[in-house]
Amino acid sequence: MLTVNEIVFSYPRSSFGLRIDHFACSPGSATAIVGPSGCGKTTFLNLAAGILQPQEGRIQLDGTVVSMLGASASATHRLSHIGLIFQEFELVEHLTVRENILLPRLLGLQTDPDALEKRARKLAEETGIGPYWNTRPDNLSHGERQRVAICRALSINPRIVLADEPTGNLDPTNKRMVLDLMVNFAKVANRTLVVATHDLALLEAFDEVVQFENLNQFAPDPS
Amino acid sequence: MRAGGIAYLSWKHLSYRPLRTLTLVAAIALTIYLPLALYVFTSESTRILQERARSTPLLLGPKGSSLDLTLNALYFTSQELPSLKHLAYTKLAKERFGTTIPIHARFHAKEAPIIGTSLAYFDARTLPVAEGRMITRLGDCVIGARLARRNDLHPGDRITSSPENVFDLAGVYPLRMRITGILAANHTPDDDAVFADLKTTWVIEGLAHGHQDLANPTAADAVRKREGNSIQANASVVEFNEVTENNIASFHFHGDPEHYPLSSVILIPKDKKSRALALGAYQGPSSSGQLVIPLDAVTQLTETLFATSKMTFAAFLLLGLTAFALAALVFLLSFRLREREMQTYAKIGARTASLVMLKSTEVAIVLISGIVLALLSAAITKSFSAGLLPQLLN
Amino acid sequence: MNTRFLLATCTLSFLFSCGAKRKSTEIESAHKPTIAVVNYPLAYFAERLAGEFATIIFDAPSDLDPAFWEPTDEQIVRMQQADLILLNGANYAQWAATASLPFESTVDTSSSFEKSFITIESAIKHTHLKEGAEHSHGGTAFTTWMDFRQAGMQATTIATAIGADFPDQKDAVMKNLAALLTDLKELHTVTAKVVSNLNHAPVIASHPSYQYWERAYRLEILSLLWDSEMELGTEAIADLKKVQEANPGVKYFIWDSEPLPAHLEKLKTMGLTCVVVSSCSNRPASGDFLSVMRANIEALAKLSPERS
Repeated sequence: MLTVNEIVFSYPRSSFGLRIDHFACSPGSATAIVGPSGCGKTTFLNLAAGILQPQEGRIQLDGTVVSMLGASASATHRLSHIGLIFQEFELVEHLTVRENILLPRLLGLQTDPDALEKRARKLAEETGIGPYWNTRPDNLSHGERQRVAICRALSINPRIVLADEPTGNLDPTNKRMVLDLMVNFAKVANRTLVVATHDLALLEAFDEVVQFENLNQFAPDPS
Repeated sequence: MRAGGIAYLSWKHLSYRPLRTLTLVAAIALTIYLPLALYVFTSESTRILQERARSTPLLLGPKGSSLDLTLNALYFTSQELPSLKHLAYTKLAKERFGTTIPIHARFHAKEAPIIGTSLAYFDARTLPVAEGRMITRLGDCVIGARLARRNDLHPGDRITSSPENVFDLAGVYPLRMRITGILAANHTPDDDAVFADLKTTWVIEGLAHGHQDLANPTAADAVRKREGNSIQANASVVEFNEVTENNIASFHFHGDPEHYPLSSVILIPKDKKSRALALGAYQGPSSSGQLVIPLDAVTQLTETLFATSKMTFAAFLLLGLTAFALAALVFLLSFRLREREMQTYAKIGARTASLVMLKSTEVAIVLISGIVLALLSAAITKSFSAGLLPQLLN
Repeated sequence: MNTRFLLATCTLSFLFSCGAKRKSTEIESAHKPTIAVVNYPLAYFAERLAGEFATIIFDAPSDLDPAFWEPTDEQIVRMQQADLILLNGANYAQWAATASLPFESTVDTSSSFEKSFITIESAIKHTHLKEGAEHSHGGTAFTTWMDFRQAGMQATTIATAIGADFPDQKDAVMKNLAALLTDLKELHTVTAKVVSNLNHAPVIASHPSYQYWERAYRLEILSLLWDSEMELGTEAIADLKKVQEANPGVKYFIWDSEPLPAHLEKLKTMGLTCVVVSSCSNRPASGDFLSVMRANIEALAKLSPERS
């Protein structure tokens, strides 16, 4: 379960600041974060992942207080427990589909390699990218690439999946497919899914929709 | 990040852009190889030159450049040197200074030098026959190991001496020589040479020959004039271009053998006193030839070689620094272009130290590959130095 | 002449570079020294001088005149490996002029008296247009040892070479030389005495191989080209008659080896008494050089009383 309490975050030398009093989502739920561009959706996801550290407040994922972890511990935690999905897919062009999906292991994830490979292969088959197992991403369509990115995020069986505009670059058919994949995972695996999106047409698929308003923003004290 | 994972990711990126990677490796290898090869070649050449010079304590030859004389006797280079009279050899032998070995290195069989010498040469150079047997008579030769291998020659085969030039067909006698043995390799110019008895090279020179018996009626056409026991032959006399068991008895020498030519004479003094006496005997303008110390002549050459190589080495060093700076720039630009890839790794969970290690590994793989390639090339250069040196000296 | 020069060069090389004979001195203790020779007289001298410590290699077949023996390549290789190679010189064993023999080990045993060599005038000479110089393919008498003073000089050269090559044996070799020279001196004295009894009358020889013997002991020898086992045909007899007619007083016929009984009879009918004077160039079936030479002297001695 992800819980966020009274966090305050601002970028150095920036006029942008984010304040959230409370946010929580439970395992097996799919939560959408919506709001206008620049309202802090991506920043929030980065805070939840531990990529950014809030100046104040507390972010907790299951028993781990993410906001208290150091950079190194936070990276290790992210690698093991958080599945990240990006709008631009962020696949590594010189790695094959297989290697991209197994990237967490290459980056140091301590897990049974055979089990990971088996799970990755199953996910690939389920998402229809099995035939491209040894293909490089530049030979795939946008929809196929995003499915590879989803497989990479889900292969580690994360406690939470954080997706930032995962359907932003996809056509309607692929949008639906990608979303169904993620929501289905959350339901079946009883994991938490948080998706930042501005695509209002997809909101019906989520259990909960959180509206990020400009109210969440504040102008940090220049001092 | 696991070390295996880092190495794998690095290798995947390097192999994804093979041309860039190979160019970098080649540039680094070349940057290291050039000064290294220069050093290796200079050192190895010096070692080889000095080693051979040491086994040739003294050398008697015509007056002139001591270096040319040394190189001709030790490396069979084809400098046009005036010849020494055979008389000089007999005079030196009479002095009882030690072992005297004649060298007549004027002719070639294809590209290989033909060395007329005595059997003592093979003892002095520790050159046993590896296949076949030693020369036994006029027209026999033993050949160096590399020459045999290159031309697939074996004992029993024939090798023919070449005319000195196409317009000198009558001057140098093309002699078909019988190969009686292949010498063991000693990684010196001996491996590329043809060795015959000194007398055989005089046959090639035209000073000795064999021909049909002029007293025989079958040779009537070749007789120009007959006065008592004296027969004068005309140009149609059949001369033998190969020494065989049947015609060897007809081979004979013309003119005064004391004036027969030699290139040089190796003198291996029996002791220090003989060495000093020999050097003393050939000092002064009145002596007919010069007695040189090959090691001194070679040392002069190697000193020049080292002076030249030092300058080249400095130039290579500057070029090397430039090349390394360029390689560093290529890496920096490459990492800049891969910033997003690195951010992805970081977001997924790679630690900063791991990313530094990933970049370092890529640089290390390229650097180590370049160094290994350079070292291997340098080792190959070293092994080829012995063969390359005589070619350069020629 | 040129061949002689080359052989002389070999000898010079040996005599003046014997200090560098490292091979033989280094392994002296490891193997028995070997001395290769080209005829039996040299083999005999070498055996007398160094037979106690050296092996003498003399490969010529027993049924062949070693002067015309052509060693095989393998035999030459064997000689190349010998510590010493003794050549007779005087154009003997002409193969040596075209063979590759190690200069340092090769000794021309007759080089000390090469100025006294006898040139055979009948040898054909010729010149080539290109060089113009006259040369001959032979023409030097080579049975040098038949003059026992020359034989002594050859033995001395051999002893010097062996002594230089094996310094440890030098004293023994010189002692052996003294004994050999005594024997040769005796042969010389007795031969001179026996032959003088013939009053220097011309004799016929079956073969032209007695030039030095003839000169040393003041004989006049008329040589044919006969072989002791050849058939005496009309042509051979005609040659002999021609010689007899030109030299009416000639009574003796010298054979190099024992002739066929028929030859003895035939020559007897022609008024000639046969006698065997062997040059002993090859190893005799029995006895040695000394005994063969003594037998020669005995045979000659038998002639003298008959004549007187």
